[in-house]
Amino acid sequence: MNGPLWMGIIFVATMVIGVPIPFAAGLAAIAGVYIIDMPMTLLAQSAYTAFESFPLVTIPLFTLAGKLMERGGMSEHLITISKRLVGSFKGGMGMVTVVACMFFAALSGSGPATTAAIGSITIPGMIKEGYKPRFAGAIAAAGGALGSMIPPSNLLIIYALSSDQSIPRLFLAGIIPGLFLTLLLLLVTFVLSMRHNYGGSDVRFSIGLLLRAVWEGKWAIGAPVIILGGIYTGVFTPTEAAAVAVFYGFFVGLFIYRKLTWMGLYESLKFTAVIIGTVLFILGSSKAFGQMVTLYDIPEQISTIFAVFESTPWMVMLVIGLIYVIAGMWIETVPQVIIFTAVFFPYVQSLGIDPILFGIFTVMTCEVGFLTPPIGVNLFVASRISKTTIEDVSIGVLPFLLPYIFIIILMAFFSSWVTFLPDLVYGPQL
Amino acid sequence: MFGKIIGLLDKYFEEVLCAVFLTTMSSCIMLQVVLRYVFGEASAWVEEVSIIGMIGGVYFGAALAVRNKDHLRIVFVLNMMPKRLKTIMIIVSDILWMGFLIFLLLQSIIFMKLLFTTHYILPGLGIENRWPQLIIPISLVLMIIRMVQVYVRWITKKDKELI
Repeated sequence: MNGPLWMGIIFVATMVIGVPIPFAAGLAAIAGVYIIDMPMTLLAQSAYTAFESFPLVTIPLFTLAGKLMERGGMSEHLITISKRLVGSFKGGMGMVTVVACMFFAALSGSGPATTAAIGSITIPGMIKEGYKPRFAGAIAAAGGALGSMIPPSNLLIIYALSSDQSIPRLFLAGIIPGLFLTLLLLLVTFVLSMRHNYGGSDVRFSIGLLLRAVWEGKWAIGAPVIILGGIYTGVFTPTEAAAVAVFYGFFVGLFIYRKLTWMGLYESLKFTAVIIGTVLFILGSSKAFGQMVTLYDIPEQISTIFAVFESTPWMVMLVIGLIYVIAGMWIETVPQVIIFTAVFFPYVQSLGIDPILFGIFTVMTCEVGFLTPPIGVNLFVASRISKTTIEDVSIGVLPFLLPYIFIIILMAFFSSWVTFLPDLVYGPQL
Repeated sequence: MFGKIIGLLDKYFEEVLCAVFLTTMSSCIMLQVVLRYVFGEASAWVEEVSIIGMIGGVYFGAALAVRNKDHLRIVFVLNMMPKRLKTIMIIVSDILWMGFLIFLLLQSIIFMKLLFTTHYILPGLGIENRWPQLIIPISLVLMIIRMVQVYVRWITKKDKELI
């Protein structure tokens, strides 16, 4: 019997009729273990051992830190700074959303969390200024995707663990594409606002006001300095930095901005538990899934299929990118990164494609999937806040996909602009 | 009195467990940072405790998500179906889901029996590895109970929707 085929069929079929994704992966893993005739206790064992990795703790920590910072009033300060920075341009509130998402992305490792934290404040603001709800929701969804690109990033951590790469290196590599993406998103917002004639705020740009907002928001701006600065000066490991971020968010929220309550702390813990219980939970079932991939020699089969492209790296990358985008429309990003990295990474590495570049590429293509229906979590969050349908926001988000696609293609052809920063700090990858 | 206790357990049991596990996880790593700078040494138990904290958070969080119906399903196909068929599909998928939970529970009981006949001491904490591993069967039982509860609430018409 053809194991991988059956696993694929069961995974897709159970998912389509409505089995939640981690459990659909679990059912597929049972089939795989059965066909290959291994003991079923393997599943029970990997349900625990899949989580026995210390760097993995970073993910719940950054999720919790982001939530605490949001509840603690940091997102308001970031929005105020963004308003003083870009608010007076055409489409001011839209651009404020993008810039605030960029700042928040440096606190949080998650895309939907960024959309929720910034969008819940700026989407109503945009609608009040006469923006179409569809457009307002789309900006927040597209900007929120920066949360996974700009370090810290949960997806990059997952990639690092699946491919055995260095987390700090990947974080550094995410900075330039993240900033570049922000600029392109600002450009799209600006052009669309010109067309629809959305105005800016009445307050003219003034360096004095900007500096004052920065000073008042210093504790919010200070968080990424401590988190990333701590990692790169070698003061903390990424995991420790994440724990420091949790306590920083906690203390600033409780004692300095005084927006965080004990109830808010409890709610944040509960929120984190539900997020990791629904998203990270899949690691337990997909570890067995991943072992099956290795046992069935799928990477070997992949290279046979890809031989059609005569091992031209850019062509292979574009094809993989296309597969990722299509898969990303259906699967949650975390399981997608785990499953597909296991499948494609060995082959990609054998072609001599830089593993760090491929990590950024993976996250970027998954983000496109995140922004396209039917399973776009960012769209879902944004549509709930802007009180429109998910279909409506997914039409609105189309122009914002252009920057993503542009960067993906750019990465397939040129790699040095992504790997430049990590190579500069850590020396070239061996 | 008894009913009140059940009510409180129903509302807060997983939530409080998760909060405790996640707080332990965060505090341990923070403590490690402090210890490392003050005493210049890192201890192995910190990693073990924080990993146990995360695993507890994940599995009891998953049980919490069963109760709150927060697990992510692909609803795109479901929503295209007529209402009757949609309900049938959800019930079938939940039977499969339940089947998986029961299967995994049986397997983990077999595995736990194995763990109770062998010795593996966690190097940092100095306790048997089987104790933290109990999180898996316990949380699976919780998930099964919570799923039955979702259906009881639906059949007794306390909840209108299944998902």
